[in-house]
Amino acid sequence: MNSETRKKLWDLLAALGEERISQVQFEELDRILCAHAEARRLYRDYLAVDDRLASGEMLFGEIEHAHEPAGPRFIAWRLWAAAAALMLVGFFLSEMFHPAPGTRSPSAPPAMATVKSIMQVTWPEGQSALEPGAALQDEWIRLAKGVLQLEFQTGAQVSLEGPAALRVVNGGECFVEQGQLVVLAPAEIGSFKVSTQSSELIDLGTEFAVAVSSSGEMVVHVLDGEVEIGIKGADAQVVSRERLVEQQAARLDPGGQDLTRTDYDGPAFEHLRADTLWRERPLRIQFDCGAQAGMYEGSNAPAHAAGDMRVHERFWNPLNGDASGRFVMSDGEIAPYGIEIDYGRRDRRDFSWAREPDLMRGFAPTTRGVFDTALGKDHLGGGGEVGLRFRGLPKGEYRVYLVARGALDHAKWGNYLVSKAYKSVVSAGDADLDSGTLLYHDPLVDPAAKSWVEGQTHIAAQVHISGPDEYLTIRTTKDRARSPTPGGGNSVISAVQIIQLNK
Amino acid sequence: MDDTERQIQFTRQFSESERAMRAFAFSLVPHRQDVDDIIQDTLKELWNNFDKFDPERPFLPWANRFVYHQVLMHRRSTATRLKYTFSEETIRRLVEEQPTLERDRALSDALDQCLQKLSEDQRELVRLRYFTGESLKEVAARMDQTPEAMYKQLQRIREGLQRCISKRLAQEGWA
Repeated sequence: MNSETRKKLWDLLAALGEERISQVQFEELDRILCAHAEARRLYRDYLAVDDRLASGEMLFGEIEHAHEPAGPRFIAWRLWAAAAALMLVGFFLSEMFHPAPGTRSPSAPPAMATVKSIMQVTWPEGQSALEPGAALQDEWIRLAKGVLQLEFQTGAQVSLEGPAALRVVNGGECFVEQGQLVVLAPAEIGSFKVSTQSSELIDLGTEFAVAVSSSGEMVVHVLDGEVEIGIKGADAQVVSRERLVEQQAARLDPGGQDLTRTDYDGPAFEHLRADTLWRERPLRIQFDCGAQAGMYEGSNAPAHAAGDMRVHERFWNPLNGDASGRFVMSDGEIAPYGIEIDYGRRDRRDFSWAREPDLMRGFAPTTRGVFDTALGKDHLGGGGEVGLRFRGLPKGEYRVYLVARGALDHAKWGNYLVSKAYKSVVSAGDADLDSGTLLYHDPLVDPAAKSWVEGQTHIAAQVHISGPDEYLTIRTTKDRARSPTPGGGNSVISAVQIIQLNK
Repeated sequence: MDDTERQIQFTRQFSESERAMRAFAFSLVPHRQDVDDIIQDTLKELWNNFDKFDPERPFLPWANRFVYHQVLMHRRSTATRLKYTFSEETIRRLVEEQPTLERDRALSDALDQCLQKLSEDQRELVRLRYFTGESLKEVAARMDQTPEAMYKQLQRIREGLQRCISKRLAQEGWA
């Protein structure tokens, strides 16, 4: 590369870096890069340096608090948050039964706060959509509407309702520009501070609600325990302090001058309390136990296609044969109640819930994880019958998706389970295939079916469960009458998704 | 090695290689926001292929295969949006010459050392331009200069920085 080309390359790289490169220039850059190995090396290094500078990692130490944290430095951390969210899915198997050592890289900063759950949130323009499990550093979070639940490093739980703008300041403090929030910070986890433009609220082992209006007016209601309110002066330093106890409320005007007592209205914030949010979070259970388990996940599932599960919700529930009954909530947390699972099968003439699962390994020896579970040994030869039943589900409506084995594209029957047509019963209580309402795994006629899983069939049923004592029962058998090849074949439960419907 | 141990290894190796993966993606698609998307999609694909992850083998070349695949997907899906893309021949050469993890680390070290050589004013300018995320125009206004003068000044600093880095890398035997 001669000096003229090199000079040209520098100009082009500068234009590229500042995003002011024209099409003609880009084509010229392409030609130079194509022709000169040295140019490609310079180009690669230039961009790599650009990316490192923009991530802030090279200059981090000296400018940590120099500016508002809206810059590109946070890209790397957001990526880490994304990585952490993805890891969560995979680590779930081991986490449940063998709490794993820290999965965070030594170079990743510990999260100041973590997104616990997201409920009907609309993100305003400019705010990246957060996912449950996202690790937050010193950054702003803006909601147009909905509720976001955060857990700070200290353990404090903050429920924020939009429209809102909150900044995570550190692991034990947030700044609220606007919005309603409830803070649960029990005494044993230490103090937690909520700052606003004109005040700071320090919990003294408590649960309290704060509402900051767009005009800057702040109202605090102490739901439990005690809160100290500091009123800031013109230089943002606290000039006076006052304490409020349970069932007291105070209002600070937009200028931050007058703190006046006001009527306590704790019930208005009931929907934001951690306990309420916990109770209202739906269960989303998924078993993935077929020979094609490895390919059956994420958005390739009927509940996703139906909009009952979001893309990030793809939980594999390990049963490990002991049916320990621990399940995930919709945000990935373990459900606070136990759920019993029974595996049932028909041997010769009798069906029994006391049978042991078939211990045969799956067809695909490389398939991970699920084949080590009881449900992984899912199929029963000879066209018998298999079943699953669940007890301990909270009262409510549940949608159940049941997926059968993959199929061939049959010349006459189309996308049909050529030799493995199924019929099933999905119901509350102790139903069986003779007395329950039969559901047939029909051939897929839905043109969108290919976007789920190639060649799978499914049924969807809705079941009302009256409370934890009532079983949700699933039983499946080969449907000989409808199968083009009635002899032989297996009974199969390939995958199950159980979705608690919102009230 | 059990699955938990492999998962820890995976996380560690991804973390070590992420910066180099980004650099590789960036060289093929020189738009930062697009690179963020590509890396996130790559991570999903890597995770989906966890059963093929071999902790004993170099992670970066394996991961960069997925990066490249995502770049191709990205090029297809954004064909109408992206203003410019490189020719296939240029892409092919960039892919063939992707740097090793060791060279990428050497680049980071060289950058670190070369940044120390900048004057206070130069460092301040780099800080304002890159760290704060402000546009060139905003930085120029802050420094009471015209955007064009600022552009030239930054270009000189970047060029100097790059020369310093190339020199250091060459001294350490990196091409």
